[in-house]
Amino acid sequence: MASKDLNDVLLPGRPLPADSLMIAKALEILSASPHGQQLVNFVEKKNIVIKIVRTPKAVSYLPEKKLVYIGFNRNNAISPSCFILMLAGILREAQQEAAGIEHPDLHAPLEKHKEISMAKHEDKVWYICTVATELNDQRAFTEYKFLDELRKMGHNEALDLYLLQERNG
Amino acid sequence: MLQKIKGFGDTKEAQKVEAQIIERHSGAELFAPAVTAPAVKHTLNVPRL
Repeated sequence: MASKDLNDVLLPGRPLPADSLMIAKALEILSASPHGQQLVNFVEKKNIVIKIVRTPKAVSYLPEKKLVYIGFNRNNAISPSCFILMLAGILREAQQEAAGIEHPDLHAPLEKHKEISMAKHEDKVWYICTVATELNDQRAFTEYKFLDELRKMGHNEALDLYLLQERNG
Repeated sequence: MLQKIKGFGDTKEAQKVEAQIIERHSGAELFAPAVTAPAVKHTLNVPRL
């Protein structure tokens, strides 16, 4: 479907569209930010499959290197901004795995788990903060309130630190 | 490749993630016995007239 047909879907305050449209529109919005565009390129180049599932709580996971799941409760749906940022986060995780940065195996020492998994999480949060900031700076996405959404998603402290870091260069 | 946020390690979010990693590593989620609520004896405490 041409992107011009997607203009009326995935807008704040509107009901969520069909899964395929949601994914297409979210990727289209991500591509408006330089770092989001890198994720979209990654999806196209590596043929990443994105699926939406029904889960009690909003969750995203990566069961395989090329398979991304985003789950949420349709009866209490997440906002479009949250969906877009969750997608950015899990795609970044897929990018990490594709680059060979993987979680240690189950029996690896705890210190190794902490070192790698924490670094991966920090990188993912950095990436979401970057995409959210880049989109938030664009007038076309004012209504999406990406930074507010990021705070609601539990990244309040991280966002403040990120913005401080960016300001200080 | 991995990006960093200065001071991130001191955030509540980082502490929460670390706690999850420790829990997963200990296998607590897989092997812990099912937690059941203690039986509660319901009694009607009606004062006698």
